[in-house]
Amino acid sequence: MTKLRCEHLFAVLFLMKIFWILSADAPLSSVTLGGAVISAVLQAVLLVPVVLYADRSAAGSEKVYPLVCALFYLYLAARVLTRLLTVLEGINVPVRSRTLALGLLALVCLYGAVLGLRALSRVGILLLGMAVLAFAVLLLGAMPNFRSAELVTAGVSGLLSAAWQDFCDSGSFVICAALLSRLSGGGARAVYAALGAQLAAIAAVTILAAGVLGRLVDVSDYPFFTLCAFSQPFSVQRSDALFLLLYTEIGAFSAAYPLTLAVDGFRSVFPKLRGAAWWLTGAMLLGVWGMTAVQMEFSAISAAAWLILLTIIPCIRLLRRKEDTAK
Amino acid sequence: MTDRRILQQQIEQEPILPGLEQNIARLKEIAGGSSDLMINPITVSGVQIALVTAEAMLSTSMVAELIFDPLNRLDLGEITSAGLFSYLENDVLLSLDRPKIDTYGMLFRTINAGFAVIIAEGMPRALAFGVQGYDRRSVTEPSGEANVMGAHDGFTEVIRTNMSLLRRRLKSPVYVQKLQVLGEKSRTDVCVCYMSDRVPQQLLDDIQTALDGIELETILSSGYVRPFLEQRAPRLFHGVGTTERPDVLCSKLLEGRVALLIDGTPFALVLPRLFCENFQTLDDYNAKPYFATFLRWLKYAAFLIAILLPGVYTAICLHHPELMNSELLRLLAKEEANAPFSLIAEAAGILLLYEIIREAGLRLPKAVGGAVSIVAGLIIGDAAVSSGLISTPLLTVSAIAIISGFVIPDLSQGMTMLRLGFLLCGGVWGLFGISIFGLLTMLNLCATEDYGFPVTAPISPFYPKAMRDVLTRVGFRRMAHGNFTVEELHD
Repeated sequence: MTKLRCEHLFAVLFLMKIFWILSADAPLSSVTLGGAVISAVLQAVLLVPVVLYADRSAAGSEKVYPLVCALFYLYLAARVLTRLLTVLEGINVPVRSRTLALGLLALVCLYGAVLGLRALSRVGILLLGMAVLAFAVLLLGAMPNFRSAELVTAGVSGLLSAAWQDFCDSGSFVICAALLSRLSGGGARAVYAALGAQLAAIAAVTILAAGVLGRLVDVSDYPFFTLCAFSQPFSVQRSDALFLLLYTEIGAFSAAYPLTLAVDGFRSVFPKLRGAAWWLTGAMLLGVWGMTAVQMEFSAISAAAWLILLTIIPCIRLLRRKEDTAK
Repeated sequence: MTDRRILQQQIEQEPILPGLEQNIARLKEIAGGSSDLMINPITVSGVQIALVTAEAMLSTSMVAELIFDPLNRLDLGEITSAGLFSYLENDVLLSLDRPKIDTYGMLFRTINAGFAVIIAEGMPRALAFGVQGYDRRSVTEPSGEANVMGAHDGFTEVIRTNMSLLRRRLKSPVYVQKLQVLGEKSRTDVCVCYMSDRVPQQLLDDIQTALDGIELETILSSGYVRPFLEQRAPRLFHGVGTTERPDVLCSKLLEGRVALLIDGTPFALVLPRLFCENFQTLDDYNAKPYFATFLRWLKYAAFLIAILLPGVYTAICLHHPELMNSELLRLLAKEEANAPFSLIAEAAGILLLYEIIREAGLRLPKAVGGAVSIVAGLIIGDAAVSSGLISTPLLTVSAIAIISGFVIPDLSQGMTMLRLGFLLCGGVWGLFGISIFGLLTMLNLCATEDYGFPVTAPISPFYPKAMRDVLTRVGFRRMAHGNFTVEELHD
């Protein structure tokens, strides 16, 4: 089993959540932030069982749990790609055809799956560094245009809906089910640090968007990209290209990682399976096609998977382990 | 196994014949009538011996002083061949290097390495004396890896000279140099160098296993050995580094790395190699930390400019003109309006033309080399722009990218291909294409790992302690307390 470090887990969880923050098409306001806080608290509690249960010894013996996780990861990869393509079309990034764009993204995902988790995890660290630099550029451009008078609370209406949406967008945490057992230590620290960092990122983007865009944030299709457009650090040249590049790379990475986990999961359940990376990439493409055809992302599946795979099943196992220990 | 190889192995292990005449006949037979094989039979103290050498491999004065003179004056009375050999081995010191020879393979290897070999009637072995004196290049400054304040000596083609250059700098007994032979036909000396108190034993074992697996007939340069030390999967960048500088190599050895010196080439191999080391030079450690840090970041920026600038420029011009400054857009539109070729074709043409000119400049004789500058600069550069075949902004962008690449010559191969790749992807698919290609490149880079040392360390995986020599260059007082070894980066 590929061994990973806790900073890999932190980078992956953070980047996968960042993708959903950048892809947000709902207005960013104090309601969004409040919902994110509620969702974070809920996630912090619901993560306890899986953090406690990261049992390396069970890795080779089970079939059903890893298979269910692998199927969810496949769904997650397809969902990310669908969202990525939708947003790219929405912000008018010219790609000759959606099929071609999907093909190129699938190529990246396939290559990542072939190279394996370790290489992908290292890419995560590089992307995290790039994201930090990009945020510094964003801040540089946003601060001169920031108006604190625009920071007004929007009441509590829609708070639960925002919390639910944030919870659904945090489906990437389900990868903890596969990754925690690969760490030699510090898993809990990485998971909760990622949770905290995500909350900080949402807060930063929400506050900046509100302060720079003001009322525009309510009518913007994709508030983050509108924020970038209005936050130019230099008058001689726009910096949008940097964010477009980074967004696409984070999106592709956020799809490649769960796909690779799915390949790993299938291989562990079916050791004699050959060409898993290829046909799972095909399955992912079918998933994207299906989601595009019905115009739905089924985000509730993420919430359900969260609860079942990260909370309910680990709880059952913890109880069983205690019973076995007591006997 | 082919007949040639079987024959080679038989000769390698064939014991030396005891009869002098038979021995001489067999030597001539194995040598196949080579004109440079010199066999001089003489009698010393009544014993029939023969001195076997290879022409022009010896120092005539050294042979005369160390071999001829003592042998000619030798008078041991009634003595057998065994007695003479015992006397020459144990009672006199005719040279410092005296390997034992009992096979024809070893005998030919030593005479072809510049040794003088004595064979005698009735002796199934030979004595060899190191009296090398073949022509060699003197120690000069390396052609690449120029340095302002560092030493100005570099490795040469003779392995023993290179070994001495390292030994002079690392006088500690824990610095080990172990010679071995590679190459079935070339019998090339290869020296594995390491500091025994800090090198990871697993790394040494893995390298030795890799060397034992080399089945080449000849080894003429470090490029022959390098692929066997790297992972088989195709990678853009090397996981094994090279250097011509003994001072640089010593600094790597002190970090627990392993170096390989190869006879016949001035380029030593260093493992493991990290990607960030391509941006470090010895001059960084002679400059003030703030200036060295500035230079480091300049190099990082130069690398990104070298690979990305033409691609991003083409992508923005063709697919995202709204991202460009309006003045710049007007200027570019005016220049490109009259260009007969598409932007991608122009850019690709300029970059490929530069590669042709660079290659021509390397291969042409020096006397004609100046013509390359005239043709490239005046005719191609000036005339092409004046005639409108190439637009000035694109030429400027390409030139900036190419010059930026000169800052990191070690990465020139990867940078050239990446520059073209980003150009094509950016030109066809815009910034989306550049993102995709960028991610593929990062994946390839992060997957490069030799002997458990990822090439992207210490950035990914992240080692905060090592950042002091990656993101910055801290002062020596702080670095002296680090005791950093490369084993910390093992993943």
